[in-house]
Amino acid sequence: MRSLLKLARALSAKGVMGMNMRNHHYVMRYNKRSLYPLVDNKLETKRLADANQIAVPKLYHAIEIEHQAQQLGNLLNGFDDFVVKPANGSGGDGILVIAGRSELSDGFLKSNGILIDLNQLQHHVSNILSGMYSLGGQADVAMIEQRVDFDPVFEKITYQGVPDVRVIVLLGVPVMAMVRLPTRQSDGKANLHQGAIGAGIELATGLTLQGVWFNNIITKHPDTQHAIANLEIPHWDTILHLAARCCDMTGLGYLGVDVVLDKTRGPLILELNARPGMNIQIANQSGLLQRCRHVEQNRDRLVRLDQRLAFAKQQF
Amino acid sequence: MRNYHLYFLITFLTLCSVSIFAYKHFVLGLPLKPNEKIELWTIEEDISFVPKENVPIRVSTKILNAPPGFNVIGEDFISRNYGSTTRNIGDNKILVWSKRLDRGNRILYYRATVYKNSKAPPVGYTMQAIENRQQLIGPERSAANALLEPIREQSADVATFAAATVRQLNNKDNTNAQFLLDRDYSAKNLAKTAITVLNIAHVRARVVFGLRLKDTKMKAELEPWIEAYNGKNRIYINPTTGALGLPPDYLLWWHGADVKLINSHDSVDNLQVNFAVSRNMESLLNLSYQHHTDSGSLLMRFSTLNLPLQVQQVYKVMLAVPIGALIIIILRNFIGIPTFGTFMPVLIALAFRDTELAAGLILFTLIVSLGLLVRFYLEHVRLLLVPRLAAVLTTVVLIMMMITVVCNQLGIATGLSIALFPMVIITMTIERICIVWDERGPVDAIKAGAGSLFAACLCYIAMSNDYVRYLVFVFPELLLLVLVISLVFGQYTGYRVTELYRFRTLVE
Repeated sequence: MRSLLKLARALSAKGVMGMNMRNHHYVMRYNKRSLYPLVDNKLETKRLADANQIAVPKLYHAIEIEHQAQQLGNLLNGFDDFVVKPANGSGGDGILVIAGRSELSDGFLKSNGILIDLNQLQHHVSNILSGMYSLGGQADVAMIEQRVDFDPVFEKITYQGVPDVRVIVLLGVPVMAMVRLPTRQSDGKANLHQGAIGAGIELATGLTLQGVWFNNIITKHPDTQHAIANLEIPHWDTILHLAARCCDMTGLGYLGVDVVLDKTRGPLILELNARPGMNIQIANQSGLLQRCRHVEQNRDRLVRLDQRLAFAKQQF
Repeated sequence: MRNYHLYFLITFLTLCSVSIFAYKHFVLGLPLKPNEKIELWTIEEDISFVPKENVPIRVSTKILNAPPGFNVIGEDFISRNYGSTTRNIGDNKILVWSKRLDRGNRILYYRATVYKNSKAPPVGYTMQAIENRQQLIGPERSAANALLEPIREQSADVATFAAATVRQLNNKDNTNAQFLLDRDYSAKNLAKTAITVLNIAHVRARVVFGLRLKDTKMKAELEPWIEAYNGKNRIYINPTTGALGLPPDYLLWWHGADVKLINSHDSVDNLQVNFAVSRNMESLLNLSYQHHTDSGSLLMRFSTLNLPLQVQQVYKVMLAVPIGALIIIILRNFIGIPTFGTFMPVLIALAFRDTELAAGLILFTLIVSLGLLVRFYLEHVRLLLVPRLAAVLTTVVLIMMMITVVCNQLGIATGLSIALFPMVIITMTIERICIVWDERGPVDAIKAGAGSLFAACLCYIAMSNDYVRYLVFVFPELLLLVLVISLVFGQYTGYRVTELYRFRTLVE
C-alpha cells in the first residue's frame, strides 16, 4: 500500500495523466459532446477534412446498405489494394487491409499475407453494416478507402501493417507525439497494448526517441533489428501543422490526431480521436499532464496557428 | 461556481439522508440489524364471577398504567355485553365493567401486550398519593423507633435508609422486627410493615403489586414491592431482601396496599381472578412499524414497509442495486479493472442471488463458454449481426433449459434457479467477448471476462449481504448517501491502481 502511494506520488510529480484526469479535466472540459460525431464517424471526418483542404486517404466507396455489399465485387473492380473499415469503429476494431489480389483465384491478400475470398469480404462488410463494431451497435457504414502506401522511412522498423504518427493536440497546440510501429506480435496493428512499438517524438525536431514495447524500453525493433531512436520523421512540420488545424476544424479542444505518411501524397489524416489513449506517455517517457497544464497557463497568447506551433516546438 | 453547486448538493443530500435515518432509528426505534427480535409478553387477567340476581353489576379492576421499564402496545377488554370504561384514580388506572342485570357464570378478560423497554419514558405520576401515616401506638411504636434508631445513624439518603429498614425487618434475629411483623415473614406482610415503619420515619412510601414476567405461566402470582419517593425519583425495594431497584422482569400492575385489585361493589359472588402470562418473540422491525403506523406517523405510512409483500420482495432486490453500482465505480475508476459493459457485473450478481455464488459462477461460465463455442461456429456460416444475435440468444436459452433439466434429473436444486439468468445480457456478453477475442486476442477477452466475473462476485457479496439489504430496504434514504458518494467519486481525477502499474516505467 505504501509503495503504491509512493508510486502515485512519483507519477504525479512527473505530471503523468491518468484516465480519470483525462476524462474529467480534459475530455469533459474541452470537448463538446455535440462535436463528437465529427470524429467518431470517420466519413464525417473525411468530409470535414476535404472541406478544409486537409489531406486524407482517398475514399473509394461508402457502403451503406446490404445490397451494395452484394455488389462488392463490381465496386472493387479496378482496386487492387484498399482498406475496409467501419465509419463508427473504435480502437482499430473491424479494419481490414487488403494488400493485393491473388493471381490464382479471385481472392484478396490481407496485409498479413492471408488469402480471403470475396464472400468473406462481403461478410465482413455486412458485419460492419449491422453495427458489430460501432459503439452501441447501431447501424454503420463501411468505408472502402485508399490503402496508404507508406513512406519507406519506416520500412526498416515496421513489420507489416501501417505505422502511424499520433499527435495529441490541446487547444490547438500539439503537446505530445509518438509513432506507432506494428510488430509481428501486434499482427500488423498499430495498437500498443497489442504489441506494437510506441516511439516518442521530440516535437521540436521530429526525431524519434526510444521505443517502448510492452512497457519495456527498447532500442531495436524486435522483428527487424533496426534502431528505433533518432529517426527523422519526414514532413514533420506539415504533420504538426495538420494536427493543429484539425483542432480548429473540429472545434474539439483535446484531440488525438492519427497521421500516416504516404509515399507520394505526404502526411494524411487517418482519423481523429476525442478520447486519445494514455499510452503516448509511456512512449515518450514523459507526463502529459505537465505539458497540458503548461499550455493551459499560456493559452491567452496562443491564438494564431504559427504562435501555437512555435510554442509547441519551443517547449516540448 | 459549479463546485459550489456540487458542495451544496452533497451537503444537502447528506443532511437529508442522515436526518431521516437518525429519525427513523432513534425516534421511531427501527432497529439497525435485521431479525432483531424482542420478547413480547401477553398478560391476561381473567375475572370470573357469578352475578347476584336483581342487582346492577359493577366490577372494576386495576389495569396497567404505564408500568416503569415496559411499553404497553396493546390492550383489549373482552367484555361480552358489558359496558366498559376506564378512569384514573390517583396513580392507578381502573377498568370498570358494568351491566344492569346478568346471570350465570361470567368470565371477563383484560389482556395487555407489553415489551421490555428500559428507555420507556417515565410517566407522570407523582407519588402524591402515598400511604396514610398509620400512626402506630404503644409498644409497636417503640419497637419501630428502636428498629429505626441504628438505621438513621448509618444511612445517607432515602434509598439507603429504606433499604436498611427492609433488611432489618428481614433480620429474623431482630426482636423488634419479629414483634412488628408478628412473625409473619410473607412478602406481603413484610412490604406492608415496611411501609408503616418508613412512614413513621417520614419517608414517603407505598406498596405496589406486579407480576414477574419470567416464563410462560398459566397462573402468575402478584408480588408486592416497595416504592419509596425521595422527592425526585421513585425508589424500588425488594420487600424480602432489601435489594434496591426493580427487577427488569417486574411488571408493575398497581399501587397501594389497602386498595384491592378488584372491586365488585357487592354485586357478584364467587369472584375469582387469575393472571396468565405468555411470551412470544416478535421482530422488532414489525413491532416499531406497527406501533408507528397505528400512531399515524407519516414517514412510516410512506415507507417501503407499507407495500404489499410481493412488491416488498422486488424492492428488496432493487434497492440493493445501487450498492452494486457503487462497487463498480470503485473497481473501474479507482482500481481500473476491465469489465464487459459497465453494469453487466451487477446484473450477473443479481442472477447469482438465486443460485448462490459458487454455483452461479460455474453455471455462468458454463453457459458463456458453450455460447461462445456456438458463436465461433456461427462465424463459419456467416450470418448478419441481428440474426446471429438471435441465434446465439436461442442457443443460450436452450443451453439454460438443458442445464436445468439435467440438474433436475441429478437432483441438483440450484440448477433449477438458472432460469433467472439474464439471457439477453449473456448473449450480448458472448458477442462482446467474441469481438474482443477476434480483434484483440484471447488474452484480452479472458482478462475482461475474468474482470467482469470478479466484479460480479464482489457485487454479489455486497448486494446479498443481509445487513446491507436490510439497511437499504428499511432505510432507503441511505441510497441518498450512495448518490453523494457517486457525486464525490465523480470528482476523482487521481490515478487508478492499474495505471500505477502501467506507467511505472516512467518513474523507474
